[in-house]
Amino acid sequence: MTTPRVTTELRPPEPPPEASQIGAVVWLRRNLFGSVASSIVSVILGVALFFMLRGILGFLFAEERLWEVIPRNATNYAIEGYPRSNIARIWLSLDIVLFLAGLSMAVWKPTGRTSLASLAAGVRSLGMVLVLVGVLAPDSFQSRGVAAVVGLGLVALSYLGVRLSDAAALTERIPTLGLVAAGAGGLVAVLWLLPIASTTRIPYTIAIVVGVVGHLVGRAAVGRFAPGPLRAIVVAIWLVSLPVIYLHIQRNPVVDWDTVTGSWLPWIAAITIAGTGIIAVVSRSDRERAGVMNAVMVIATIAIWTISAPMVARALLFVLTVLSLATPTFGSSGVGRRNMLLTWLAGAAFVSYIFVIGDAGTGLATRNEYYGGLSLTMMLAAGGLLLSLPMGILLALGRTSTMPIFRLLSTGYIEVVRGVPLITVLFIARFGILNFLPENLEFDPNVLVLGGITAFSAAYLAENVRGGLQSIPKGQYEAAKALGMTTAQMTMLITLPQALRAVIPAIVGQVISLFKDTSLVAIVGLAEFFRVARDIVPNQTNSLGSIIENLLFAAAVYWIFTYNFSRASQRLERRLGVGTR
Amino acid sequence: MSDNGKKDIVICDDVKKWFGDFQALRGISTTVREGEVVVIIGPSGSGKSTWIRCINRLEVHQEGRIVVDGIELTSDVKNIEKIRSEVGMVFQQFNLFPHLTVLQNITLAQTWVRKRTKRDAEEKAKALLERVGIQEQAAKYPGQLSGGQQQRVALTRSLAMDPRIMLFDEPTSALDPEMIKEVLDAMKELARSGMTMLVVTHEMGFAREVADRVIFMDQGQIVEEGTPEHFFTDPQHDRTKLFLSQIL
Repeated sequence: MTTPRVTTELRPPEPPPEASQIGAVVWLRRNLFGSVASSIVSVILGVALFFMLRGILGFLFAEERLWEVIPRNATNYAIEGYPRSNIARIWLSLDIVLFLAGLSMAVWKPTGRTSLASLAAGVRSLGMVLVLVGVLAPDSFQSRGVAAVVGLGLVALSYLGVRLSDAAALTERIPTLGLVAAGAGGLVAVLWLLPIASTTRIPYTIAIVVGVVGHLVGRAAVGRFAPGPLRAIVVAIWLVSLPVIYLHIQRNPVVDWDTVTGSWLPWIAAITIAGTGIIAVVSRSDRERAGVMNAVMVIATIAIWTISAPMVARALLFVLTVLSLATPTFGSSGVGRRNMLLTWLAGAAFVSYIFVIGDAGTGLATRNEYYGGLSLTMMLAAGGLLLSLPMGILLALGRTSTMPIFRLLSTGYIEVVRGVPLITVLFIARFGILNFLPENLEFDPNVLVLGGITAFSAAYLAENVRGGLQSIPKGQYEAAKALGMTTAQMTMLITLPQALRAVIPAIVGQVISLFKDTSLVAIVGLAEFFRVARDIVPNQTNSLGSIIENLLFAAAVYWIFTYNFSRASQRLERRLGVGTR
Repeated sequence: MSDNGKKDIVICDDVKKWFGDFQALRGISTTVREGEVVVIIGPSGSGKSTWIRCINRLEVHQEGRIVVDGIELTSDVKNIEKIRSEVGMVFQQFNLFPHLTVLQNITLAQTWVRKRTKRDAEEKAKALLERVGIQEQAAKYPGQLSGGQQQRVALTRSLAMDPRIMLFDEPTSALDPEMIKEVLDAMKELARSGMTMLVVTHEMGFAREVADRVIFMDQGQIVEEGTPEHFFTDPQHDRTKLFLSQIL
């Protein structure tokens, strides 16, 4: 018979046991030489790795390599084909982007994740790589001794730094400002001390300083405004500044003001004023009257294509109809009505701006494509992402809709576009589509190709988003319905936000392939980054025969970008807690 | 309709429903008066959940009539949304929105469906959270709460819409024994405040204590119906006796 047992005093929680530190020898024995078989494998792979590294370094540092062509062609790589006399416009664009980047860093991450310990680990890794290069590089690499010594120095520095500091200081997080200041200082020092970019030191320095200033402005703003609205404002500035940079700053638009004031302005003013009234009335109407008004709006949007109205009027009417359709669901309460009206006014101003500036002749256009290189690659990638994400979401919603017409159209679009190679889409976008457009319409070839990339990428994104929508449990739909939400409210507030979170990794995968796929536009004649590396630089008289160097450089640049996308997505996933719901 | 505010708020008349060839409801006819607490018991697969899910049209009945607060449930979308905003529902699996905080879970439908201002909605949410004793959890996400707390948030989310009828679909079946009581206490308080409630549950203590009427269902039909005293002391039908003998 067991005697009853009672614990009179419950124990408080104890700290976990400390992880035991293991030395290098123990680690090696455990992980590489644990058994005879694994020792043999380790030795064989070690030898293979040694010869591979030696071979690669021997190739990279061989005497016949022409690495100097890359800094010499830096401007070609950045902007190929853009008139050099207007290069200040490119620098201004870079300044704006860096300013916003600095600002965003301060707004989103006032305290970084980096600690002194992880910085030291980074320095140690860099040192080890330098030592390895110094030891294994062929004799033709004259600085191999310097590399080895500098590497050893870095390893020793980080080791001593960790030894001499106390543990608390090592794990403390460094404020982002410190990192930004140190990084900017380091870059400026490199610019002025090393013989690279010697002609563009001043504009680069200005751009770096502007980035730091943006960070300081952001820090000042963080204390003053609530985080939610502040972030919304920064996102809005980004979204507006990208087309402004492309349409306004990088070109020199020559606007035909007579046409604009004579025939466009009346349309713009009339639709803007009428739209404000329509949205105000629809938001106060009951369902039936709103439905009738929206039906009239849809008919008007189609009808305006039959009369000779300017394109800006057609676009404005389209935006107005979309907003008016959304008004009964999202704009019928006081705040909703105000937001809807503000959205309409901002949207009308933005659309008018795009058409007035975008349709204008460009003083810079010495040929069809007025710039190329990395700038064009970035424009195609950023523009393609920003445009194809909303389009992909709409297609996904269409394909999962209960309305057969939307389902049929979306499914048809997705299946057709996914079944066609990107190159075909690009050819149709660049050369084919012009046959279907009204004759008086002229499009910048870059914009046509951007349209092709967007159309292609949207079909793939739609399938990713659809996967996310399918992963939402049935109970979420039921709970939203049981609260009396309409289908549109349920989608926008409950299911779509959760679906997008669930498919972030898939979307980033799509972004990475979109970024790399921009290299295909070389085939339809645009001088983007990869074409500069493959054709343009190796054909310069002073760079003949440098094909391999340029291709390796291009590969390295693509890798740096895509690797950072993938790291950013991992951070985003962690922050949104995907998988830990 | 009779007087003293005791009007018939839910009327079901020969409600039938099939899933494919399987008939889940074989003609349910009953009436729920305003302020009445009706507890529905029965073995699994007897159609209890299907029936109350028909009342806010999460399931569509194929034959018969359901009238809620004077509005007949048809496929007219406007009627359905009107009825859903008057009928609250608490689910077995809570179904909180995991991407929103507790406070946002409770204010979302108030602002978008009831068109309340954000401030009014938050005041209402905080008052209700205090009533169920979890006001300090308002800023947390559902994943950070215990099951009992989540279910009380779900109850609050429904009550914030000022429903006239509350449906409960096995609200305590997914909870640990220690947490069942806190949810039942909140439901008992609600019953005493005069809310019309239809509760599918296996908690016989709850039925005995607060139900005005108990309905026993089997094979898609109402087998026996009566006061708790009748049920727990003098059940008539053999199927009811067998069921009660197994669970009590």
